[in-house]
Amino acid sequence: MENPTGRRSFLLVRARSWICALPASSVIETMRPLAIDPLAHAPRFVAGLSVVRGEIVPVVSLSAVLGEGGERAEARRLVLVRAGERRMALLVEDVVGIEELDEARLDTLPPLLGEALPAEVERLGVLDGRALAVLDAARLLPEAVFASLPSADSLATALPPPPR
Amino acid sequence: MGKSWTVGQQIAAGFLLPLLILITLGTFSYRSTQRLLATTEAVTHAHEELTGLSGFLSALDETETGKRGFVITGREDFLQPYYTGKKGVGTELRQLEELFRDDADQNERVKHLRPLVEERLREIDETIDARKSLGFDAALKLVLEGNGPKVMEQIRRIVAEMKTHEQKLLTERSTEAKQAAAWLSQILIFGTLAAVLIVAGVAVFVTRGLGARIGAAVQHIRSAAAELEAAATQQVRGAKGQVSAATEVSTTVRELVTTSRQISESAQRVTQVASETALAAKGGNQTVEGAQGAIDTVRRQVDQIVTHMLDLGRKSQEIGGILDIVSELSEQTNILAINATIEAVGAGESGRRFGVVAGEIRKLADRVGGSAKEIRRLIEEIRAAANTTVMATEDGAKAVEAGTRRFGEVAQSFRRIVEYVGSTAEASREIELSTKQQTSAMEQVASAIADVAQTARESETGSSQTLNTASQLSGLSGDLVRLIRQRQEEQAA
Repeated sequence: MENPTGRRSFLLVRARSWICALPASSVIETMRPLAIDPLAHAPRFVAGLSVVRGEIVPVVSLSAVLGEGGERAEARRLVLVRAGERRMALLVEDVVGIEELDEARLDTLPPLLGEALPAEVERLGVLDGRALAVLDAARLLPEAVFASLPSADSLATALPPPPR
Repeated sequence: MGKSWTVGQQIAAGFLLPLLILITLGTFSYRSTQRLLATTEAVTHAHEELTGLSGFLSALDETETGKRGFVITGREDFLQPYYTGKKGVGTELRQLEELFRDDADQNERVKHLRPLVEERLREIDETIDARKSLGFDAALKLVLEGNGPKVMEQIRRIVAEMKTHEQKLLTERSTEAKQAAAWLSQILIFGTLAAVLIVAGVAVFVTRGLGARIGAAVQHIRSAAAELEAAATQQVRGAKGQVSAATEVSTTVRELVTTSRQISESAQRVTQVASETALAAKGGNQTVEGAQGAIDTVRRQVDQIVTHMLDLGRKSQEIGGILDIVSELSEQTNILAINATIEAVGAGESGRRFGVVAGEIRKLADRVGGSAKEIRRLIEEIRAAANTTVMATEDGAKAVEAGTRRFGEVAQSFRRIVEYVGSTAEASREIELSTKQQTSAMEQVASAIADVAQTARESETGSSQTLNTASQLSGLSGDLVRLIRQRQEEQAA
């Protein structure tokens, strides 16, 4: 998905006051939020589990990832992304659109800022004068969390089937 | 004479006592006079008896004288004294019997005297007969031998006894008569004196008592006169006050009459105004009833408006439902477009144009969504406007309802006004009538008050006269008191 001009397509979503860019290559689908089954002993940003097209995926609240407390608008979209070989769903407030961004303009975080920002933020860019966080989906959820998730079969009986 | 006796009783007692004394005195005098008369008569009787005895003796002596003359002379003419004496002796003896009939002793003596006188006269007759027939010697012999002197002596003794007896009786009767006369004069003198004293005492007592009583009465009259005077003065004042009060009342009544007339005129005007008001109120009532009809129409139209507005609200809601579907469709189109774009990105170069189309679709979906939002906003506005209109209309309907009620109340009020005005007109007519009657009554009262004033003036005159009379009475009683006091002082002096 990388092109010679160095431009890549990103799906831009809104969470809290942030515009976050997800690489379009890692995005599978956008949809309305589905039923979420809360998960015990999970990190605070994991909202629970949902069944998407017959597959159990963990649902991560991007707003929770980006900070604690404060104003939190309603999550109106669910973005299904790839995280390595696994899939996970991100709860976002809105899907802004798909943009092609110049890689050169997206800098890696400076060391001081990198410590101050959450670890999930890969790079920081500027879009229309606003800060843009480029997220690495693979970093959002540790492998241990995936390992602790129950199997799809065990959830199939526990969870109602998805609306579509 | 107790104090409880009346003046009449006192006077009667004062007259009765002297009268009793006079009656007693008169009775005594009468009886004494009777006794005196009887005594005097007895004295006269005794003198008559004495005279009779003397006459009897002298007549007997005459017979003796005649006998002696005849015997001596023998001449018939010397017998004349004998005949006269004989006749006188009979007469005197009968008279003596008559005189001494009421005296038993003397009567007895007279009875003793008659045989002696008869014997004496018979002896004289025998002597005279003897002289006549036998001559002087025979007669002398008879005289010498006869017991003539003894009989005569007896007669003389009896007559002397009788005379002594009569003398004694005479002396007794004279003494008795003198005593009776003295007694009578004493009774007369002392009785008269006592009567005079008693009458004087009674007169003094009665006069004093009467004086005290009359003085008290006059004092009483005087105080009564003073009271009467005061009362009359007060009456005069009262009558004057009455006159002035009557005058004031008369003035007031005249003013009242004037006021009553004014009230009557005002009541007349009120009646007229009330009639006009009743007409106006009836007109108002009709107007209100017309307005009520118009309001009913308005209410019906407002009801229609409300119905239409509610329809509009329902229709807007339906549009909202349709818009929801449109929004849903646009949102899903948006999601699908994004997903399509993602797919297009994944497809690489070949998917680029598809990605452009998907982007256009997404833009269209966004526009549809924006328009749907706009429409929704407009519909919300329409609904709000419709709601506002409904509410406003309902408020209007309520206001109309209230107005209707008000109009009903106004109509009711107008009807009541008509009733009240009718009552007012009736009442004012009654007032007018009553006031007219009152006016005539007031006029009668005015004339009555004038009469009262006249009466009061007459009463004042009468009271003045009473006052004068009372003053005169007071003066008179004062004079009486002075007179009585003078009298008492004189008596005391």
